[in-house]
Amino acid sequence: MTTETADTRRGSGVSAVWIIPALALGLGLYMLVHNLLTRGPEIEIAFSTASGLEQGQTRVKYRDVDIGMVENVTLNEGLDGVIVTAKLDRQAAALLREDTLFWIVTARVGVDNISGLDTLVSGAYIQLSPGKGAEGARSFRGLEVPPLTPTDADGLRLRIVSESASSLSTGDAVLYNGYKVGRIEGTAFNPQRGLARYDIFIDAPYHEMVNSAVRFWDASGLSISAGTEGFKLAVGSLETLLLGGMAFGLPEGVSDGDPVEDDAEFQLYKSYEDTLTNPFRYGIHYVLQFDQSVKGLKPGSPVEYRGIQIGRVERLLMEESMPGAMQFDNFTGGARIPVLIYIEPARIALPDRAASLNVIDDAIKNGIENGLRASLESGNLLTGSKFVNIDYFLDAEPAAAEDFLQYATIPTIDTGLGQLQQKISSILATIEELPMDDTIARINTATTSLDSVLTNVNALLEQPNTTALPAELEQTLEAIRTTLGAFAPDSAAYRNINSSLLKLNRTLDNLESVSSTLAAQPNALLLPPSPVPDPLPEAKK
Amino acid sequence: MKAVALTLSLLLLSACAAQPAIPSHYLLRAPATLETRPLHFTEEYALGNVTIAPYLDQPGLILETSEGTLRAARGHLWAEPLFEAVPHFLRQAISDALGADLPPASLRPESVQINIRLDQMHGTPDGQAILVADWWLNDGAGATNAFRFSRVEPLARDGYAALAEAQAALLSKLARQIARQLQDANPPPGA
Repeated sequence: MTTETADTRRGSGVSAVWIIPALALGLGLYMLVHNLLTRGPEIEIAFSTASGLEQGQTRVKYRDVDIGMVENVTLNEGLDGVIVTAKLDRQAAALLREDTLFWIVTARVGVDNISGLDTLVSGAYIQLSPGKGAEGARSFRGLEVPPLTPTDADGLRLRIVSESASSLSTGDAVLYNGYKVGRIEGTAFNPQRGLARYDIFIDAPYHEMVNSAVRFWDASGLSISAGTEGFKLAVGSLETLLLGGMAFGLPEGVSDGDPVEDDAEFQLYKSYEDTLTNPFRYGIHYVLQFDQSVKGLKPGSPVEYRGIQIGRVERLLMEESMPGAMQFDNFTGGARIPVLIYIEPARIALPDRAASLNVIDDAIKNGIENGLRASLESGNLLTGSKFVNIDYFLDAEPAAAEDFLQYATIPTIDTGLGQLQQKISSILATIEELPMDDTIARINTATTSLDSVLTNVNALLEQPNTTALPAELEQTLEAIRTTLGAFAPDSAAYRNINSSLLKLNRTLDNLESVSSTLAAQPNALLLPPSPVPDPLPEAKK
Repeated sequence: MKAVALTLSLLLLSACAAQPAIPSHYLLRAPATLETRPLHFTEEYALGNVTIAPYLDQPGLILETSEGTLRAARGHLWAEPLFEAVPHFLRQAISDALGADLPPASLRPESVQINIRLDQMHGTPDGQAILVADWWLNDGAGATNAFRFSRVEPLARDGYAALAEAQAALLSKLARQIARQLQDANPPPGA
């Protein structure tokens, strides 16, 4: 009997059965690391509604490239909006900045454009527009409408404020010389300041044309104005004619200003003409108090210095002076009318800066001591319009600058129109003093004398001797005619005269011959020249 | 001394003894028939102004020499001034050509006037006579038709008498042309 002995040996190494678990573990680790390394950021976007958004279906796009997927859509805590959770690709992390914009792209039909038609087939998606702010943001507030300008677009964002309402709205064009260079991105109204605000964006490179001296005006629709040069029709462009718009530019005669930064604020003028009327930024107010009628003086009437416009009339300060306006003043015969004027230093070639205000103020205050006065002058006798003239009157009574409310005053003087009225009154008084009755009586006397003279002339003409004059004159003319008839071509006298003239003519011919002979030969009388025979006409042979 | 005075006196007397040349005169007249008849002036036309070039206003006949100069003959003269003779000649010649008497404009101021100007009338070096004249009609309101006549006529023989005859022949041709133009413009009844 054989006994088989088991050969037992202790195995060396790990059993092969562990290979499969080990591979599974390695693959799992690889997938974990790969997932950690390639996983993109997860973001939350708040929208008012989730219209068109579906979990696991709606994509997030940037430049039409899919960069993520909506993973979850839930209501927010306040139940007044939705929170969209989306998972983005890793490479999209750099696009997530604090001012990055998200909005839902769906089919939209607007007044000026139609967009997003492709989403009718592909479905809505979320569009991303990267910003320029700090990176790392993961929570955003989505826009309800697409932004008009990408956040990272090159250009200039400005704020335009207006005191009056206009027809401008979001999306309207911003024009420069009629060319569209930007758009209005948003509008708002500030009830505290009473100003309408327009956020505009000027595209690069046109933003370089914007400086502190440019003016913005409403270029919506068309502008029709009538003036001394006739009617003017101004139209910005077809787009602004239909949809409205804003334009900017440098007023004529104004030089470039300083460069401006983003969010700089500008005033919106009503029209281009309005920018010409008020092209300067800095000015100073004064009050003029007139003792005379200010009829014809209106807001905007020019203020001139020796014919050069240096400002304009702002308004009559009636409300501020009404309490004392109707009280009788024993010294002046009535309350003076306060007129607020606005003087701009840049109109007299001073820099359009705040420092120029002090220069002009000092000049006016010094000038008042030397006779600088304001007066009302007639600008147009036909329409009765007036303007304010400021000039030196060396014979003016001394006066000092006073204050009226918060404004300084310039003393006034009654000249020009008042003096003209005085002269006219003087002339009328002189005419009234003329002895018209005596003059008319003398004219009547002269007329009577003239009648008497004419009567005598008539009597003279009716005398027989006077009436016989024409007959005698006719007889005289007949006698002259008879006398002249004696010298008619067929008369004997004419024939005699003609015959005599012929003889005289022949004698003169002979004398001419003699004189020419003597001129050629002075001694011809004593020694007559031998006659030169006449050349003989010879017939053709 | 006496001899000198005597010699001078003889010299002076010898000048007086020279025989003066007697000039020949030529009468410019249109050939006329020997008849006595009343004149019947035409109603349509009258002879107006007849003027001559100033160089013709002298008594001598004019001859252009071979040197190209004009010489007025001293011994061969017109019997009467040309400004008298030419109008008379032309009025007679035109009347003959027309077959009706042409009145002077002074008698028929209302008629159409024939105005004539002689520009040249002299003998040429090649043995011919030349006549250049312009004539035009004037109906009172202004010139209506104007014409030019420029012809030469060879001399029949040597001498000034032949020159005067040739010039008379040229004036006759001028008159006939004027008459023909007038008849063409206003043909007689039945023509």
